[in-house]
Amino acid sequence: MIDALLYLQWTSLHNAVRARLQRLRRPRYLVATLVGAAYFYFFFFRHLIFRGVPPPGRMPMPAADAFFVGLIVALMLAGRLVYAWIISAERAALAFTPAEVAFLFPAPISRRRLVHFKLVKSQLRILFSAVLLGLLSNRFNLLGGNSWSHAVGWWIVFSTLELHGIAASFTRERLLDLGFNPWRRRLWFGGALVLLAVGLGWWLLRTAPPPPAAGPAGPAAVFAYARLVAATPPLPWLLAPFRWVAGPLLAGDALTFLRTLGPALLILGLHYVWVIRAEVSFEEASLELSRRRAERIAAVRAGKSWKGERPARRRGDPFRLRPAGPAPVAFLWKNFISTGPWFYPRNWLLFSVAVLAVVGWLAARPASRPWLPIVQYTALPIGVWALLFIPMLMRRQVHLLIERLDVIKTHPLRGWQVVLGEMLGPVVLITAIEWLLLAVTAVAAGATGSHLPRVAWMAGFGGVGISLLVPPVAGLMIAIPFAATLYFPGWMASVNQPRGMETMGQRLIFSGAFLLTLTAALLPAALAGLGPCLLLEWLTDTWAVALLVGAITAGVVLAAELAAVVWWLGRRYDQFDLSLELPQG
Amino acid sequence: MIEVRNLTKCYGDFAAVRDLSFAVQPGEVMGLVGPNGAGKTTTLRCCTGVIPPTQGSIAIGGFDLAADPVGAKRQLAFFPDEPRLFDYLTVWQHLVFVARLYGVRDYEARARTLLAELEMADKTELLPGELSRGMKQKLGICCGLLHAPTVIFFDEPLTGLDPAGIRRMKQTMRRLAAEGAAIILSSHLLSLLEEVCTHVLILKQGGKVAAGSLAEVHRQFAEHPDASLEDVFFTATGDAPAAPPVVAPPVLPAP
Repeated sequence: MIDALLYLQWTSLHNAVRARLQRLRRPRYLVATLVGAAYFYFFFFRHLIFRGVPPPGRMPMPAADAFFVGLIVALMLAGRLVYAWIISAERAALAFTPAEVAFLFPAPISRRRLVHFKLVKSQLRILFSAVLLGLLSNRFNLLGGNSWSHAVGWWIVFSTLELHGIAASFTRERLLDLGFNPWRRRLWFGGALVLLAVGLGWWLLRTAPPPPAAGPAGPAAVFAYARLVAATPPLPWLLAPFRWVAGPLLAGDALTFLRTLGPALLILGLHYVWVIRAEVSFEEASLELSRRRAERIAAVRAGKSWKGERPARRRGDPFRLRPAGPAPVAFLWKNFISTGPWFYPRNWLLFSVAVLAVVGWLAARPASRPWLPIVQYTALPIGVWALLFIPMLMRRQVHLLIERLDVIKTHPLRGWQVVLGEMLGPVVLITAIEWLLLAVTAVAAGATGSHLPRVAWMAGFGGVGISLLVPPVAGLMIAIPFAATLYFPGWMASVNQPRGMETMGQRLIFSGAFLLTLTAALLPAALAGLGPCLLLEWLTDTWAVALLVGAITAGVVLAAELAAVVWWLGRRYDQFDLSLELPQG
Repeated sequence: MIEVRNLTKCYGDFAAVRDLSFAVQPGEVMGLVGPNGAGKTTTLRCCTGVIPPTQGSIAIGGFDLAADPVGAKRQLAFFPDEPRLFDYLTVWQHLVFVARLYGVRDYEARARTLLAELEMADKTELLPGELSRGMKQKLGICCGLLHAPTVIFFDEPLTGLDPAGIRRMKQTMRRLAAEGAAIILSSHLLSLLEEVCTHVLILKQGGKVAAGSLAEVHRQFAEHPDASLEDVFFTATGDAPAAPPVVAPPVLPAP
């Protein structure tokens, strides 16, 4: 019987690889695969093949940071345990595909053999992830050691987690049979965890070194103090099993790797025995899990978001939509509801006021001002993330639009109205986020440089100037994935589907084109804004006002570009023939 | 009314629909029928303005679909086989949204009447996820009828409906036709077409093989007076299925 299961595995893998290779005959897959392969080669493999080529940017990691990486990994593993034993309501972690359920469950295969089949199958995924992450962690030299030790380390971590997840689900299933419903289990395990945390807190208060009398001044002092506390018994003992599992991954040299390998493999082996010896009837729960997983895969392949078992909840109107007026506002209204009440105008305004009040409070107290740079440096990556990530999400929204094209195209609307309507939601979203972050940064920058009036003025005027640029820039950034989907729908259709190297290639090509197009769009505006800005600064010797005028000029150019782009995309939408763009099969 | 003249739609070298002409007058229900790949969906998509025709013209309620797509689309409603609803919009929010798209100023009264007619008056605050398949279909109908269309397209309208839903859908189609709407109904269910339609258009390989009132088509293709639309369809298309093959029982190993 095991022959049949191995045959199934091998044939499926073989056919999947062959289908992928055959697809390379089509230029878009070939180009994407070549780009993806080049990326993997230059980013990961070149340094492995040519050992003399030092990977640029590698920096040895200080020992203190290694301690923190170990602590973080241990906490992540502990978090996985908390999820498995307290949060999760899943009854079984053994997921079978619908085909596996249909063929294997009624077949004369023992339960233990089914478990082995799933374990072997999961190893393919784990090995691939381990090798990839091993290369990645070695690429940045985050952990010391080398690619192979990292790959083995990741394999041990992932395999242990996988086995623990399955074992925990089997135990939950058994507890359910004994009358422990999920809430009772959560009460018991959660209660035990809270008791442990309270006891630990009480003990640490008595034994851990006291914090500095004036309170920790700044983040560096906080980290130093946290390091002292983490080294106080019994914390190192409690975290020991997690550190043993992560030991080979964190080993900086061969000797440490070998020394840590034994305990890690012992824990892995114990987990294996636990899973194999658990005689739990998992079929019914696995059936349910496979059904939900199939739904999720189908939704992702169709470019839809998957809400899982959680039913959608009713959401009130973000604002009153009158029956007469510009149609794009109706799309904005609809997309507000889809996004959720967080971004409803009133809620966002309240949230913004609350955030600014906290930052203002920090700025008003000299003792808390050392925290303001952290606020500034946190706001910056969030702002960049929102600008880059939300347009990526737009691809999914455009796909939904295309999916419903046979309904939406029957509406009495011009193409530009539909395009503008669908773009308004994400533009407003990005603008709201960026404006809040700019306000936070301006308040923080103004406070840290308050002894220099020019800095405070520039923070204020610069913030207002950049705020004016945000909506048109966001619009242009949103327009790029929109245009890509409308002009290359066949290519973009596969963006949501995980397909390995060629998907990586497609994403790289898209990212490159994204940046190129954005640069081309921003350049005229930047040049147009620069002239008045420099002229005004030269005339008035005031950067603050010059920046504002320059931003307004650039904003006008960007707005004109955006209007032209919306009109152009609208024409494309009007002419868009889905049946021609996405041939069947 | 719907007026289609010399409609041709090509995908590369392949003509999905070839030189198709027909008209549907107010009060008529035309059944669009044909084997798979006959060009029904393409015809429906062209007539609703979802895809542009390669050649030919389509007029909806007197508006040319190519010259004035917005004017033409104000007249029509399209009901796909599967109601496509927004996950996070309630029943009422769907109607508010559609009202804005079509500029229906008195939508509140109209929407409440439609909801009451379709027994959904108490469902206004529900999300699509909380509705049964039939209820979703009803919501789709409410949305489609909110702007009082004069031209209506149905694509396999009975898919997934229970017997009560099927009866209600047939009644809705008949009532709309009685109120003066021109209706095209695409379906493989020949018994449905026989019950609801006044006219029929049979397509095969992108071309028209039969068109006219049910009586006219029956006269033209029926081999005997009691012939059903199914018989007429197979005579017209020449696609009558062969008798199923006889399969020998498998030889199983001895226990």
